[in-house]
Amino acid sequence: MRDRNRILRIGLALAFALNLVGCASTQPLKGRADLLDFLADGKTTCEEVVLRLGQPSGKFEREHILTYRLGFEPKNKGYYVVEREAGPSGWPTWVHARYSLVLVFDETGVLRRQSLVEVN
Amino acid sequence: MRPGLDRIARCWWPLTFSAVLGMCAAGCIVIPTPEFNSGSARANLGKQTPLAFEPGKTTRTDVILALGEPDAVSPDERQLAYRSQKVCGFWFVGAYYSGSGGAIGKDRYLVFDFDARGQLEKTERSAHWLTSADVAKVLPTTASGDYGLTAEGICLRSCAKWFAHLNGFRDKHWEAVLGFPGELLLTPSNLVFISKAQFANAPPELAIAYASLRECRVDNYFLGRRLVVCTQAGEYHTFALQKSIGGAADKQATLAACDFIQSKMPRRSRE
Repeated sequence: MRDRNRILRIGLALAFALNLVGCASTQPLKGRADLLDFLADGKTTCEEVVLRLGQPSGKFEREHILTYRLGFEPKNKGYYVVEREAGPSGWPTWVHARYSLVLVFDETGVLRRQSLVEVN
Repeated sequence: MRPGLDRIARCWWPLTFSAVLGMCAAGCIVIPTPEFNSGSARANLGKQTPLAFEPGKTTRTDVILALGEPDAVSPDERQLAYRSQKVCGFWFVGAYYSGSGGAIGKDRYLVFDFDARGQLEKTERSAHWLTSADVAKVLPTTASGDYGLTAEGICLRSCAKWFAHLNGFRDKHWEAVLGFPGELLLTPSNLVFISKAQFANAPPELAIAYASLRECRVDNYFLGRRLVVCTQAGEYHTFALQKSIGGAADKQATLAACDFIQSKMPRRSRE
């Protein structure tokens, strides 16, 4: 009888410990605080931007303007690129993106102007 | 005005009041709240936003730099649209042991019109209650532009979900593959898929020439029907044609699309 109680207690303790492990597991923080540090007006090229940030979510004026949607992780003040998502009506949602990065390039593909707009 | 219409016009307010009172008595409660952003649309638009831009001086670049990526664009980029969404209240309906409720939303749209040089001509604000207006209604040129496909013409058009690199219902774990919602267009020489998430000034997400296809068939699985095509290179694409976005499967459109594509494929492939 005593052995059975001991096994039951150990089993309960193990189950509790396993639950705690599940609760304690944390997701790695998204984003990097220095993600946009490479951007410099008059220096950074369009190719460099696409290599570092991937394909933009929007291209305008014959690809002279590229836009990226950025999510933000307050814990590490990190930015990460978010894909454009659309709802059933066709309008995009900004649920996962907080900022819109706008990059304007000249005819030679060099960055001339930029802005980081807080959208949501 | 006709006498009947005149009488209805005079009774407008009492009728509205009676309808609201009737809804409340039936268990419907509407709670108005101060307006706040829904969180799913952009929050950087306000009543004063159009005043920051001057027609004849402001350029398209200035607008995008100030407000960020637009929510919709016309194929020729002469129009940009921005959307905000506010919650103005909540509604609840209760009856015996069941009930339902939700937010009362109001969408606001700000459309910028530009001339051929990219300079601002005018701004226009509009609003839509309860549901979001269709993009094609706010930017009518989006619907008529047909993504640069007008020259060739469109023979068949249907709402669809595109499952890239999926062989109909024959692949293992086909149910785990998520499709991209959008529109399937069949031109005289190409199968084109326009994703719902892409801008109207962007090229189609997928374009396959019928001449490059070796197989086209309709797969069935219980009530589901999917259009499956395979290129000469062995690349499969599957489409679930729907009556509306996210709606029921469109059997007739699926069969019509399959017949049309098969009639355009090289004769050797069909045999």
